[in-house]
Amino acid sequence: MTSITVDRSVDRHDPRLIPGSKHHVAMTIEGELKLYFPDGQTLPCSGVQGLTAVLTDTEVGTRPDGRPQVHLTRLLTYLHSTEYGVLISLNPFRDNGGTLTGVGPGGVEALLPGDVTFDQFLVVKLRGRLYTNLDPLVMAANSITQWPPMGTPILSQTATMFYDVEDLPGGLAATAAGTARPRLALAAEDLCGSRLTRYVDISPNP
Amino acid sequence: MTLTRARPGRWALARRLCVIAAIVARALARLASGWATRWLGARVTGRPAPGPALFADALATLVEDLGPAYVKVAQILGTRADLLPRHVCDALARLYDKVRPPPATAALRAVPAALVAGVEGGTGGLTPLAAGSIACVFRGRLRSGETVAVKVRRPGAVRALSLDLALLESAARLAGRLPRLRGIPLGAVTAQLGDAIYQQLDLAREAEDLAALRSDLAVLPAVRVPAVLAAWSGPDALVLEYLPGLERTRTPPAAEELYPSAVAAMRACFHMLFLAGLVHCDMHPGNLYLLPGGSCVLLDAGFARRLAPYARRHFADFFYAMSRGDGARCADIVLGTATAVLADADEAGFRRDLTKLVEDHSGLAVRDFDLVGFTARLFDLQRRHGFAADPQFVFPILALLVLEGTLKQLCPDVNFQREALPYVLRGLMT
Repeated sequence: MTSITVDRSVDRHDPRLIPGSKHHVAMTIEGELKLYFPDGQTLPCSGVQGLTAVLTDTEVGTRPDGRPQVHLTRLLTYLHSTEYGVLISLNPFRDNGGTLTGVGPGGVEALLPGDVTFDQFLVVKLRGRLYTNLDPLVMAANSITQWPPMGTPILSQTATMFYDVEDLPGGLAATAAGTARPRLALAAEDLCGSRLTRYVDISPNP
Repeated sequence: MTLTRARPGRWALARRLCVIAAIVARALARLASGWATRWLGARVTGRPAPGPALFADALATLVEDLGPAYVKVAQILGTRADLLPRHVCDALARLYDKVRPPPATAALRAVPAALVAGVEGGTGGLTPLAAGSIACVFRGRLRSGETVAVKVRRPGAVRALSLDLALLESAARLAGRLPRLRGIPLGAVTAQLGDAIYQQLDLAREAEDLAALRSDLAVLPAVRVPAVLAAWSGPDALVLEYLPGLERTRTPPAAEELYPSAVAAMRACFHMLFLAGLVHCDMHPGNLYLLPGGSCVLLDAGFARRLAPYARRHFADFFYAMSRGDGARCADIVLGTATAVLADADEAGFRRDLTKLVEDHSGLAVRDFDLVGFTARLFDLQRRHGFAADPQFVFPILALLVLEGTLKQLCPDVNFQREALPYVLRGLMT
C-alpha cells in the first residue's frame, strides 16, 4: 500500500483554491505500463517514481453545458528508474496542457468533484537515445474530489508511439513523423496509470 | 500439374446452374419427405415433432451436395454463432473436417504412384483421416518409419470449383450493379476470394505457405504447425508430419482449460496479421486445434494469403488509431487506401460518420466490442459515401472474423484487443 502525505492545514477539497494554483507532487507509475521495442522486448515501468508539477489558469470558463472548466499546464514531469535506466521528462517544445471540468454545472465552486485530463508530450531517454511522442499520451481521472488528486489513479487507456528524435524532421519540435517510423511504444495490456503519492512543498518557508 | 484457373464457357455455366437447381430441388424434396415422416411418426408415437435441427441438418447436406465452393462459404459462416442460429452452426460444424468422403478408391487414385510406393502397404497402408471441402487426408507410414499425413485433392474438385466460383463471381458482379450495393467492390472482392479459394487446389503452393507459416510462427513455442516433407510433396500431394492427439472428443474440454490455448491461437493470428504478413484465413475448428496444456495446432495453409507490406502497415495503423478513438486518422487511412471513388462521393460525410463510429466503439469494454457489427457498419459507410475499400483488407478481416467466431464458441472470455496490442505496436514499428 502506498503511503500518502497531505498537508492537513490546506483544504484541498475546496474548489475555490484551484484557479491560479501551482502544485508539486511525487508520483509513481502503477499497473502494467510497459515500453515495447520493435524486436518484441518489453521494459516494465510499474513502480517508476518521480515528480510532477501542474499550474492552473487564473480564469475559469464555462462550457456550453454549464459545467465550469479550468485549463491546466503541466510544468514538470520527471520520472527515473535506476533499475531500467530510463528517464522520462516533458518535451519543452510542446504544449503539455489539460483541463479540469466540474461534473456538475456552476461556477468556480463547482470545479470539484471534477474530471481531469492531461495531454502529455514526453521525452524518453533510454539506452543513449532520445525518443518523443507526436500523439499525446492522454491521462485522465474522473470525479476527483480534491486538488491535486492525491491518491487517485490517473489512468491511461491508450497506447502511445515514440519516435527516435534523430529520425524526426525538426527533432523535439516535430509535430509530424514524415517518413520516420516509431521506435518505441508506451502501452499497457490492461489499466495503468500514475498515482500522486506525496505533496511536495517548495515554498521558501515550509 | 500446373493449376491455371480455367474460365468456363456459358454453356458449361448454364449446365452447372441446372445441376445446382436439381440438387436444391432434390434437397427440398428430401427435407419435405423427412419432415413428413418425422411428423407422422411423432403423431403416432407421441415423440417430439421435428425441430429446427432437421432443417439445419438438411442445409448442411445440401451444402455438401453443392460442392467445395459452397462448403467453403459454409465453413466460414459456421464459425459465426452470432450471425446464425446455434443449431445451424452445430450442423455446419461437420463440414470442417467430416465432409462426406469420396469413395476411397477414387480418392486414392489421386495419390502419386511414387508416394504410394514409398508407403508401407501401398494404398492399403493409407487410412482415411479427414475429408474437407477440397482435399482428403490419409494417415500412413513411410518405409523410412515416419508416420505421415498425406493430403490429396478430392476427385472432381478442380472442375467443380472452376464452375461454381465463376458463377458466384458473376452473381457478385450483377449484385454490384444494384443501386443499394453501389460502391462495394463486390466483383473485385469475390474475384480475390475466388482466386484464394481456387489456389487451395495447388498443393505445391500450400506446401510452400505451410513451411513459411511454420517458420514465421516458430517464435511462438505454444503454436505448432506440422512440418512439410518436401521430398514427398508436390503439386498433387502434400505430405506432412503426423501430429497425434487431434481427434475431437464428444465432450470438449472446459473453456477455462482451453483459455491458454486460445491465447496462443490469437497470438499466432496477430503475429501473422501484423508482423509476418502471411495470413492463415481459415482458422475454423477443422484447422485450429486447441489442446489442453496451453498449446494449439494450426493445419492446412491452403487458404493463406500474403498481405502487401502497405496493407499490413495500414491495418496496424487503423487498429492503433481506433484504440485511441482517433476517428479522423481512421478516415485518413480508409480514404488513402480506397481503390475507387464515385463521382458523387461525400468525403466530409464519410469522415463525420466514421469518426462517430470509432468514438462509439472506442469506449466499449473489450467483451462488448462487436467486430462483425463494426466491420458491417464500416463497409456500409464506405458504400453510402461512395468509396470502394481496398480488397487487400478483406483477407485480414476474414481471418479475424473466422478466428473470433471459432474462439468465442470454444472460449467465450477471450480478450482480443488485449492480446492484439503488442502485435499492433510492433507492426507499426517494423
